[in-house]
This record gives sequence, structure tokens and C-alpha cells, in this order.
Amino acid sequence: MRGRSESRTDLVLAELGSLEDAIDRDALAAVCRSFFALFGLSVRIVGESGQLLADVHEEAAICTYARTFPKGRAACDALTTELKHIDPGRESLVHPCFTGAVYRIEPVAYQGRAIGRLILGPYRRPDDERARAEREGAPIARLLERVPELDRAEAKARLRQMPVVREDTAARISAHLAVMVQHLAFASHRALLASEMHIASVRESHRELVAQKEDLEAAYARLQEADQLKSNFLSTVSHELRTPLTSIIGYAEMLRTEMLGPLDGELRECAQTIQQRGEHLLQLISRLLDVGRLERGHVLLERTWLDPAAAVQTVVEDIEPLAAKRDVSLALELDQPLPTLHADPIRLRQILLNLIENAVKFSHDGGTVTIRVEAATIEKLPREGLAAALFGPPTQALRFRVIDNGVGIPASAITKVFEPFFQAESGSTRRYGGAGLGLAIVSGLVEAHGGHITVQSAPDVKTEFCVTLPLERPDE
Amino acid sequence: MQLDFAAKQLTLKLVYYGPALSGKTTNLQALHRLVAPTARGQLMTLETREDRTLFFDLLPLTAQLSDALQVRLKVFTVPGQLVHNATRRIILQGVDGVAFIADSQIIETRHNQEAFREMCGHLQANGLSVEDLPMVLQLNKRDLPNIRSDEELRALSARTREPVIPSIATQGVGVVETLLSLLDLVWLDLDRKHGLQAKFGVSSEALLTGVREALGIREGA
Repeated sequence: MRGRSESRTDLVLAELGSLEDAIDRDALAAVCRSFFALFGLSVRIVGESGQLLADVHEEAAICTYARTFPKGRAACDALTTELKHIDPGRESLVHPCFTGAVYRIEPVAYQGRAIGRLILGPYRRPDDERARAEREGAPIARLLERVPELDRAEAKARLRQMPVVREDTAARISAHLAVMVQHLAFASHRALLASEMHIASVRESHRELVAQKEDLEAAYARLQEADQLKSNFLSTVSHELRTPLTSIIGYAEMLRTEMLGPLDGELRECAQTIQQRGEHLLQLISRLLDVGRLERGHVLLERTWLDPAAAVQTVVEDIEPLAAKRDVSLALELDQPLPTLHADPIRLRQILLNLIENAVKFSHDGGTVTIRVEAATIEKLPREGLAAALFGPPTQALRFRVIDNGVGIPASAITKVFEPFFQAESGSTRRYGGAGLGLAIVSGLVEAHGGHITVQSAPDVKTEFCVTLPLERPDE
Repeated sequence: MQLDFAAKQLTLKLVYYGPALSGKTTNLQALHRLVAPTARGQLMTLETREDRTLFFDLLPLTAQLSDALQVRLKVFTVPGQLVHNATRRIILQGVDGVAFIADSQIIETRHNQEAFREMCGHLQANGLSVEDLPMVLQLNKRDLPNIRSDEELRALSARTREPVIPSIATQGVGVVETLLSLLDLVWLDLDRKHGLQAKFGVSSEALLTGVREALGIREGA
């Protein structure tokens, strides 16, 4: 038996390459010997490539006689070689011997594929069949043509000593032997696959362990380094950037509120601008920190059961002054009753604030922003999410829709709006402000809650952001 | 998939995946019973002493559709027990389609979910697309008490694009439907990728009818 574990394809489809690859030759020879003892018929088994795998035969008297002459020996050798390479296709076939006897070639199929064949014989067919054959070709005459040195009477006498088998009997016993060989092949194939699978499983487990060990080592090294870097980074950002910024904002406010003395109108406006831009910068720094955390998957949610209506109302109240300044009206539509939601209140506020602020910002003056909150279920899951839903009840969810009829998002940009630093138009930053981080953060926070966000936009007609959050995370 | 143009043979690999004791081997045994002896090979089971699958079961089926096409199906199961994680990953290599055999019993929900998640991980590790792989969901053991209701199955079916097939594998119910639904999806998928229909002149409907006929399937036997 030869192992074929190197070949991946074999294991993938669990194919038996060929008979010679799997079968135990001693077992095959033993089966052939037993077959010979039972039927007195010579049998050879060859693989698909013609390789002889078992050969149990007794030289017939006519063969011994013919082989004493050079022409007889040559004809016999040529036939033996030819027999091994005759492909019978799917059906068995009978092949004539120059002595007048015949051989039967039986294919051995396994799992729909030829893997080898049996060669049964030589044997003679009984008189009625032989008589027909003689009428057709007079075998003795043909034999003498091939080997003229033979004595006719002697050849005829020796040919008669050859076993006689009816064709239907030969067909039955060769088919029987083919089934036995199939069973041997099955047993060998099974053993071969078991050992290959064993080796492959051990190898796979080993590979897995090595990979895990390497990952752990790398992660440990990264953690040590990151820990150091994080400490440095956080102290830099919070101290080096925030501290002076806080002073700038504080002093600007003191100036603006005339705590340090009276200011004329233009100077006060300057102080106000410094304060506003400073606050904007502070917010930007906080968002950069957020994006960093979200990308590393380090956002820790502090979830609590909360009332979604109250959460939305607070945000709407906070944005109202901004909306009023632009003459944009805010319409709040709440389904009654709304279920409670297990979410991080600060992060939920961040999500809603961002979306509603955006809607106001991109609305035309005098426009309307509608905020709708409704109960929903999460339907038509992608396959990754199927496991969670598999055989459990549908995931109950809450949907927040923020709809405006402002400038909207062009179709070419709609797939990118959730990417960090993306702006629908290059001029947007200047016109509307922002660094293109808001929606990236919103999307990251929604995903951290196990929900999803979608956007549809027909510029100047209707733009709708839709956030669906499961009432609880599916794996909770 | 393996395509042998010389022999006009198409070999497909189908894997029955699912949690331990959900009835994967029982499905194969039922198929073996229902398919005509001429079209099936021996059911190969590599099992431990406790009659649990050790590496896999393999049922080879051969359907001679015409002179121009022979379809060979190699239907595998994976071992369900947790310890055989690596083996499950190996068996999913080169898979053309998966029948996920879930246990309908409510108490098995978590095992179903875990097995499904694990399978997605293995498919990804083998470089296969979790989203695009042809897949059917079989909900087995419909004859037991305390199972997911028919209503829940309908709801699941409405929410997923995978065919959801209720079954009682021990009685052969739903077993053939699972195989043929999966074969249909696999053929459509491979046709999209390799233009099989044009190559062999066999439509999806003709394939299913042909396979059903060639396998001599005895419905409900």
C-alpha cells in the first residue's frame, strides 16, 4: 500500500487514484488462488495502467506445446502483453486467443470510475458455441497458419484438455470476482482514507497550534509595544493638545464675555470666532481618538436599558437652536409604544446627534428634518448573521430614520460616506465644515451595537439615514 | 468540482455539516437506502466504537445523464463532536455546496448556532466565500417533541435566501429534497462560473430530472 497523503486533491474528493495505489497485493493473490481452486480458471488482475497486480494461472497443455516453437512463443508473448492493455470500456468483452480459446476481460469500476480489470482464461467455449466459432474461422486451421510446425492431431488433442466454460457462466463468475475486487478496493480505500485523514487532522491541529502560538507571541509583543505607545499617545493628545486648547478656549471666552475689560464689537467677534474654532478643534481631537478606538475595535460600550424616545427628544432639543438659526424645522415622529433599548446612552446620543446635525447642516434654509423612531425586526440577514437568527425568534430591533430634503449625496459617493475622512464633494469641508469623520464614527458605533446603517439619497428631494439597532445584541 | 472532459465526468463535492447528533450520517444512510443500487457506491463510514463519526462518512453517487455527461456526487458528512474541529476544516476543502443539518429541538438552538458560526470560520479559512457558497438548511427531527414550530420554520424561510427543508432523516422524509435542492444550487453556481450548461447542453431542470431518474430515487421508501 502506498500512501498518497501528499496529494491534496485526493483527500479533497477522497478519490481512489487506482487499484495499484490502494490494494493489498497479497490479499488480491489469495482471492485469485481461491478463485482458481474453485473454478480451475486462470485469472490475472491488472491496474488501469496495465500493471499486473495478481496472476494465478496454470499453463494449458496447448500453450506449453505451442511455446516449444519460436513462432508459438512469440505469438503467446504478444497476446499476453496485448491482453494487459485492452480497455474493455464499461462492459466486459471476449478476446480470442490464437489457439482457438478465448479470454474474458472484465472491467473493475469503483465509485463510477474504472480502476482496473480482470483477465479470465484461456478457456474454451462449449461445443455449440465452438462449432459456430469453427464455422466462422476454423481455429485449428488458423493456429496452424500462425505456428506451422505444430502437429495437427497433437494440437487438437491438447486443445481439448482446456477447460470449457459456457459464456453466461463465464460472465457470471467474472462479474462475481469483479465485485470481490471492488470490496477489497473499498476496504483498502477506507483504511487509506482513515490513515490519510488521521495524518491530515494531526497536521492541521499542529498547524493551528503553531499559528495560535505565533499569533499569541506577536500579540503579546504588540501589546507591550502598544501599551507603551498608547500611554505616550494619550498623554500627548490629552495634554499637549488639549491643555493649551482649553486655555485658548478659556481665555477667548474671558475676552468675549469682557471679563478682562470691555471690547468693541469687532474684537468681540474675533474672540467669539477663536472660541468657536477652538471648541471645534477640541471636538475634532475627541473624534480622532474615537476613530482610532473604533478601528482597533477598542470601543467599550457601557450598555444600559434606556428609553429611546427620551434619548431622541434630548438630542432634538439640543439641536433646535442650530436648526432655528437656519430656519430648519425638526419634526419628531415616535411610534407608540416604543420598546426599551439596551445600548450605551452616550454612544447612542453621539449617533443621533451626528445624524441630525448633519441633516440640519445639509438642509436648505427653511427645510424640514424628520426624525422617526419605530419598532422593527431585522430581516433578510446576510449569511454571517444567519447563525444568530438560526432557529431563534426574529431579532427585535429599533429603527431611527433621519430624513431631510437638503443637498443630499450624489450616487457616485453614496457607498463611501461611511469611510473615514470622506467628503461627498471636495468643497464640502470648506462649505459645511467637518473632517469627514462623523459618519465613520456613527457607522462604527452602530456596528459595535450589532446593528446596521443604510443611506438612500435623491439630492434636493430626500435623503434618509436609517439606523437599525437590535434591542439586545444577538449574542447576548 | 472536478471536470474530466475525456471521461465526460463532472464530480461534485457536497458536505453535510451540522452540530453533533443532528442526523448527518442518518441522512446519508437514508439516501443510500433510497437510491437505486446501480447508482450508488458503498457508504463509507469511518466511525469509532461508539458509532459516532470519527473522520467522515462518504456516499458516492453516480448519475449517467446521457452519453455526454456523467455526474458523480461525493456526499460527505463531518464529524459533529467538538474535538474534531481540524477534521471538519479539512473536509470543507474544495466543497461545492453545503447542506446544514440542524436539529429542530429547541434545546439544540445554541448548538446549531455554534456549528453554523464555526462552519463560516472554516469556509473562510479555506478561502471560500461564506456569502456565495450554495447552501440549504435542513431542519431535522421534525417527529420529536419540543421542536421549533412549523410557523417558526416558515418565518426562518422568509428571512433567509437558503431553502429551508423540514425532515425526518430516520424515515427518509426530506432527505432527497435536501440533496436535489443543493444540487440545483450547486449546478446554477457552477454554471455561472464555468458555463456548464453550454458545455454539456444540460439545463438546470434537465439535470434535476435526469439525476432523479438516474438515481432511481424511490420517494418515501
